[in-house]
Amino acid sequence: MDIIGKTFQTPNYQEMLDGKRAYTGKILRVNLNDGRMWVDQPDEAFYRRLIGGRGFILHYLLNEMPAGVDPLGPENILIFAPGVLSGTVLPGTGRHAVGAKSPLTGALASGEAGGWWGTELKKAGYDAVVIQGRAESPVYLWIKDGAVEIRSAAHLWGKTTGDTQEIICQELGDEKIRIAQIGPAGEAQVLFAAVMHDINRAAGRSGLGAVMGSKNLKAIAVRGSAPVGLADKELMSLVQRWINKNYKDLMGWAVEYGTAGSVTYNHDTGGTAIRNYLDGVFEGVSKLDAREFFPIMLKDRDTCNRCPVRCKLVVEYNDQDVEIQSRYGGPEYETLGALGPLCAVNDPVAVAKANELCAAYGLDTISTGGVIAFTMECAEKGLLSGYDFLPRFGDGSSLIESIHRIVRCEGIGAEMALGSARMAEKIGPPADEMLAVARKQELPLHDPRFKQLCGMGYALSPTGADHQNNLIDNFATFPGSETCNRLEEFGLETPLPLWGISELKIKAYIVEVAFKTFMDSAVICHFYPYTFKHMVDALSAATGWQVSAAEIREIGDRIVNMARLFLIREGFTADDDTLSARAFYRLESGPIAGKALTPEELKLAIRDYYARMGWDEQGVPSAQTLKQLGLTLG
Amino acid sequence: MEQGKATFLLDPSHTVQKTPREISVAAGQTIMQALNSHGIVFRQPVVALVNGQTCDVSYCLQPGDVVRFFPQIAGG
Repeated sequence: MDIIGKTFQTPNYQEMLDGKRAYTGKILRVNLNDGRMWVDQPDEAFYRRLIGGRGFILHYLLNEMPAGVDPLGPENILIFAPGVLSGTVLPGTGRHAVGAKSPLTGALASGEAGGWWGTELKKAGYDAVVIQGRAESPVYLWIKDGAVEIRSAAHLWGKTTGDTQEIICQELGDEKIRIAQIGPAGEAQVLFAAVMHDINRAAGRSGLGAVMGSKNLKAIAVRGSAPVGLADKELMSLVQRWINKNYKDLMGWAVEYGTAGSVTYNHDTGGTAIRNYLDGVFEGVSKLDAREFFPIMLKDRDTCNRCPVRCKLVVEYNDQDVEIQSRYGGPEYETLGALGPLCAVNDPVAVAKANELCAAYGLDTISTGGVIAFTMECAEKGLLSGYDFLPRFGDGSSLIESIHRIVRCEGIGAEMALGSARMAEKIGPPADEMLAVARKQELPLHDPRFKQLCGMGYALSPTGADHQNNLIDNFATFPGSETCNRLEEFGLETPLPLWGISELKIKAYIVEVAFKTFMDSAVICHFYPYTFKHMVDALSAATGWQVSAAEIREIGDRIVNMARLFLIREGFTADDDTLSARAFYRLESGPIAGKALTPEELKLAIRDYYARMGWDEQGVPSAQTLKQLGLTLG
Repeated sequence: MEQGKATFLLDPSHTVQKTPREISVAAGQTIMQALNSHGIVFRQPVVALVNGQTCDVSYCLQPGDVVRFFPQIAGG
């Protein structure tokens, strides 16, 4: 069915923007099979139970998508969801979530991105956009102040994110339009393609870009003019004033260098995996640290809506051989680690160019680095033959060539586009020994051999290995850290021991993941040192509800359990809550020599976690646990 | 190096107050106890490296240990 040109105007657009609360009460629905559009108008209880972001994503996946669907088929549901706090005056709320069933993991895909897109969507009158079906030909959505139009994207298909943004802004005649989109990687359904926002902010992980590509949806362009309301401006200004007064002290690291300033420190303490987890020390790593590469290529700093910190980088570089465009931002810690030490590349220009390509093509940089490093090791060990090109450890030009080939699905690139876990299955032993994944998703650059509780978090994560919705051990091992402050609000002893997974650390993980899950639903940047108390005030101020720290915790726990129900429904079992072989491989030298959990230790810790969550030995939430959270099984 | 002592190597830009780049501390106490007794306060949480190995701050210092400290920054 030809759906191009179909339009929709939400009823009562002005009426809902009364400025008295931070959500509009309307969720836009779009069926790309037939172009039908409508709005859901959930009641207040829906918002209070789920908040937005990941909560909304799981609501639609659990209630409207049948179990077992093909993630790249029309039945998958793609949700773009800011949260109740997104777009408010509170610093850190320039953020929204994107979710679907993941084609990489078969589990939940739920990623958050900064920038302005989520704020703009709320200013245009919608708390979320829920997409189902598949368009016959490439389309994009244009949402402006409650009005929606389905437009052809035939002329945009194949274009980079930067060029697509330029063309859409030109044809709609407004440079301030905010755009969520896929690049050529999403079009090609690379299993770790990202959804990009403002061309350099990724909802990166788990292949959300491939889902968008499978729907023939190139972009969602948004422009809104209504302010996001507040129930209690004075209360919100208390939290706002606290952070504005303290952020330079509490987030000095982000102000000074952003996460790019942590490359050397993370390496020196053993936090960054090197040469696909084989080495303990990487010569020349400091060249990838902000302190050394800023003078070579830093052009500017960038930020998200209402954020004074400006942790984002804008790099630019030009010489005879390499041009790096500043419009694609710059590499941050995870990217520097994945495309640098993990691939044994210490050339900052090659890594920054690889980052630019990932943004232009719309690729998750963590999985891109992970799969290239895995391929480099397979190539070095002679497990791959018959290809005209294979990447080599330490070779920046082969890193860059790999990215081009992944997106073109050419030669070894066609294999890499499936992710390292599927490659290992095809190659067979001993490739499985070289894998660093959880639920088939490549591990972030927080080495689980050092950060062992974080490793348990990778194994348990409903979205595959994830460092954000997690507790990173060394953030809670020193008194006075923001993580310690949050744990103390729930009466836990701090600081935590650095090594191993004790009862105390599991209890701490449960509290911290509930908090992070609230943050990913509200939706707020994890870098801000907010505590439960701050969230109590912010949520009350945004909505007029009288909430408590216990309610914030319960919202997080509810959504964690919804994610668990989703995993179970999609066929995952306790056996899937694990890590691949490289997470247990002990190094002979370097700062974490001899350190790693054993698989048995990890399994025991996970069983203890299940019990503390009110789940049975198979990791299934008990009827009583679900009842307490207002949920039901199946 | 003094006998029975361990050495802390410090980056003054990481501490709240002015701190020498190198101080000797008594062995037989934990890293955290030694930091507290010398009034060393870091601007942000740190991880300790003892003789090149990453260590918990509850580690009990041995004579001759050389300890360095690294700020811990969230990844993203």
